Amino acid sequence: MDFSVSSKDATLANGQRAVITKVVGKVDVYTAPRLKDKLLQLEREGIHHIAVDLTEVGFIDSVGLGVLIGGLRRARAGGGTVVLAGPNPRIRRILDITGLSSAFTLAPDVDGALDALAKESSGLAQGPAQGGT
Amino acid sequence: MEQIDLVELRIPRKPEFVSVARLAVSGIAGRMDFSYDEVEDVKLAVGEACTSAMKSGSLESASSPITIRCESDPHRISIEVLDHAHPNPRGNRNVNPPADEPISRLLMEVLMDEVDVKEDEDGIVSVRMTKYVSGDEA
Repeated sequence: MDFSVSSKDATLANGQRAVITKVVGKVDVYTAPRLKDKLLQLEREGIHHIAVDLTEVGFIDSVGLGVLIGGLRRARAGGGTVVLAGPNPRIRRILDITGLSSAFTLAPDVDGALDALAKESSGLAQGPAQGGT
Repeated sequence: MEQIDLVELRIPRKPEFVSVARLAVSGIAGRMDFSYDEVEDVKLAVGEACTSAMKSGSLESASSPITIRCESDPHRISIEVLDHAHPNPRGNRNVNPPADEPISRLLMEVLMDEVDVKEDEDGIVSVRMTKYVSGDEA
């Protein structure tokens, strides 16, 4: 499967600007730099509320996870966060093994991720959203 | 005594070839009595070992290959990732390793039954790891 990263603007329920970054394919040592570039670009543009759509990601390695961690750190430093949307059971397992499922907010889909971003950006988050696949 | 099948693969030290190693080893594990998830575990662990090896050498090592040596019998698969890098002088090593390095080690240790990661005094990393078919642990 080819790898691609694309972004789409979104407006949260509280009116704040967010971006949905859709990743397709395998995120590994070869492809992860492209995701990193996209997340760095969003930071430069001042966007700190980011939903990373993993619905069509079938594989992720430690380099890919490292890129997501870097994105989360930068987003938090800017007052926002990164929510992971739609990880498949395999990726959910990797997130659990590495402890990252408690570091990230997980959502079952993009709509859930935008809801979670809205709650977190309004300071209403009560903890990680449930229901990640 | 059961026969051990040996497959050896040598890949260039380039990120785009790590997927070749993953594919080859998952093909071998897929022929054994592993579940789908176990094959995926082996596949990810091999990729992590190759990535670690790839990062361990010096810049002069760009043209030196990485060897993936895979031994299998009906009870287990053992994979050794051998680095042929030039030594990386201590002064050139990254004193602030990226966030993914401890994650890589953790994944290998959790996903495989036995993992032995060696780093010699020149900073060259080699990994040997084994996964047993369920119920066949030594």
